[in-house]
Amino acid sequence: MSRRTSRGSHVSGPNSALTEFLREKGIDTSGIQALSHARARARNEAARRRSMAVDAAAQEAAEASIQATEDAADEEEETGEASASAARRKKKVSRDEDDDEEMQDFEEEEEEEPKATKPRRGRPSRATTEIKLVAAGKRKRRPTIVEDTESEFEDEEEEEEVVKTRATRTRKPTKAQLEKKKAEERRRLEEDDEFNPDNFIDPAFRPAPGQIAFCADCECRFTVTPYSRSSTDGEGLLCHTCGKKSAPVEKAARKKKQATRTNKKSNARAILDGDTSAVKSLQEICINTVAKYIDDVETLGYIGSHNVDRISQIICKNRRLNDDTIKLFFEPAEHVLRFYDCSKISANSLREIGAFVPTLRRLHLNWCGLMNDECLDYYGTQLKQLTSLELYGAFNVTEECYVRFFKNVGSRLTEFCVSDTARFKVAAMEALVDNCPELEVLRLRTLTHIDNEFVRLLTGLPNLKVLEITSPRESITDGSIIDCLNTFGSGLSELTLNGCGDLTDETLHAIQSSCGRLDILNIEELDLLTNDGISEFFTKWSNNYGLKEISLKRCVNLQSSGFAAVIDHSGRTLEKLSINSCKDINADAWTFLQEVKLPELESLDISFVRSVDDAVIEGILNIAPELKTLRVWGCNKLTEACMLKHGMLLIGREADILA
Amino acid sequence: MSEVIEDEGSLTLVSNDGFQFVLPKKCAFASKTIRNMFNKNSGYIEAKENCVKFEDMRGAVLEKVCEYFIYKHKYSGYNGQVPEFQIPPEMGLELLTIADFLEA
Repeated sequence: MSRRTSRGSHVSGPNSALTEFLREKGIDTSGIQALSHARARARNEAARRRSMAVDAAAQEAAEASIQATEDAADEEEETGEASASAARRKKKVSRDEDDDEEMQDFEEEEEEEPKATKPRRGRPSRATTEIKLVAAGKRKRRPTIVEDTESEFEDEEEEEEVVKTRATRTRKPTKAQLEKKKAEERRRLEEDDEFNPDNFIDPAFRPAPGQIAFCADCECRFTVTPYSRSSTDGEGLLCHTCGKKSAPVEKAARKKKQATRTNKKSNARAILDGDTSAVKSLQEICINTVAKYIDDVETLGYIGSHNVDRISQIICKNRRLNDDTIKLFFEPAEHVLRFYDCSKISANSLREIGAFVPTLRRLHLNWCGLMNDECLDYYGTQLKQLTSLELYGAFNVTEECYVRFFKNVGSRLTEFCVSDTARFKVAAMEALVDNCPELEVLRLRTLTHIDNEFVRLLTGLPNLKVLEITSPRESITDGSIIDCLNTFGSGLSELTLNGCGDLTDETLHAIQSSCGRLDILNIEELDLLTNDGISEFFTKWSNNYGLKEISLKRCVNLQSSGFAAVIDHSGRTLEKLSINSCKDINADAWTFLQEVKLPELESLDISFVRSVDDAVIEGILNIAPELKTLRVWGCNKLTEACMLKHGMLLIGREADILA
Repeated sequence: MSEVIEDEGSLTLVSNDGFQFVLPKKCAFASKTIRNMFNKNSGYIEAKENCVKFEDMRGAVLEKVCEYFIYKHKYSGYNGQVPEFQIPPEMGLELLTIADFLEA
């Protein structure tokens, strides 16, 4: 008891709900002395005794016993400063803290010594370990501490009569119980989101646990527990049996909610992966299995180049292509090899491609940052049938090496793609133009040294069918592009000028006059293009009978009228269209769309066109029967209510992603 | 040639080591190859005998294939969570070539 008194002066903390409640009810700490505290049936008596006369002997005994308890270590110094008033104070604050309760329990046990009849009482001194164990065991049985504090009140009133029945209630909680309690509270908080009749009864009027109440349903008499449920109309509490009836339903509902959440998540993931069908084909399952265990595969054997490519795609995506796994793909008679992520492939392994697969015609290497001069030189001399080379991210290969390679390959080369390097400069381009006049496909992506002079060299490639210049680091202006288009524009089937931000409507004019055979036009991020320029371009482009693919992504000046011109020109033939971020396209465009047909359209990107809503999407689905992929990132007017076609992918709808 | 395909009843699939699997035609027709065999107009002997013998398939693999037919029949058109179809890793490549052949 001495400990208790001294502790009171030290401990301070937030008021518990109970303390608040007691204060509201006008029950202050001094009044509670005989009344208030949780396990206080016992403590009351002790307190009373204490207030009359502090027994020095008892104090000593208490001290001794406390010291025997390991969890009281920090409190020990304070023992001995007994005072009745402090005891009262302590009662007020202590119940907020678990360790306080622990201490109180010790006290109880000490003080209650005379009431040996009560089964739950400890013994005066902790020396008797068996009893301690028994007590601990009983403690465990007590459900939670919440119940404890809630029950304090009535405990006192009924103390005399019901002491025995509630004997186990006032046990201090074990760690496990505390955790359980926290979990319980968390769960309750979660449940609070939903309608929960339990929350409807004002806690102030809710009968305290331990009281006798009558079931609102079956009217039988029962003892209230913290778990007693309130009836559906919120009028009263239900007895255990009646409460249990609704439990499975709620549990199922909770489970279902959780399941929908996971479902939604995996659905969103599947949509991003482009997974539409729930049941995969057997080939696909097998390929996934093989890709999963690729490290254990000794040889792929003859499984068809299509399957080999699929496996390559999957293991590259999972970043599992390394010096060991790449060897599986070296089939001596192979014509095509594609590796989509060579970042882990050493120069030596890359070189081995030339040694093991001399029959290669097409070689595609993504992110082959470890490739060096020796490697490309080896390809140049070894791969006698090579006609197509795509090297993305080979930043170590020097310009001289490119020059040597072009000389070696000569006019055999029809396709060359290079990206992300600062070493592909004018000299390399000159060598390409001089040695490979048959070049049909040229892709130059994110090259550092590419300027007007560089672009003008392309005029020496009259056979070009596909030209891509993406995100050059230096400025490319209309003049050089127009020169190129005047030379080979009439043969072009694909033109990509993404991110050449200095191009203006002049370029469009050149395209309009020279590129009659164009199928694919990508002019992304050309923000100098005007709406009028685009409108005029498509309206007057009579020598072209319609494009298959158009990307006007981030041509921010495009407006509804320009969009209408695009649809007017190519609507019948369009398979793929992107107007991503063309923010000025508004309702006029969607009204216009209602009157046309887009019979071939398979893929549409209208992300960040804010005027898109459910009705627009439904309208588009009506006019584009073949539509398979629709990207709608950032179209925040879209809702789940939007009617979709079966088998169509809608990617980026907020409602699908936010679970 | 027009298609005359009876998809009622069942058929037998026989592996090269003599295991026989009897399953509903509806399920087995998940494979386009088998389905085409049972086109009466194409005159395959399999269509008459209701029995297909696979000379290059072991019993264990054919069993897996049959399992897949049933799996596909059961879950196609089902909107809920579809359990994954498990393939023993060592069978993966063998099954892949067979799946290609069967167009399953």
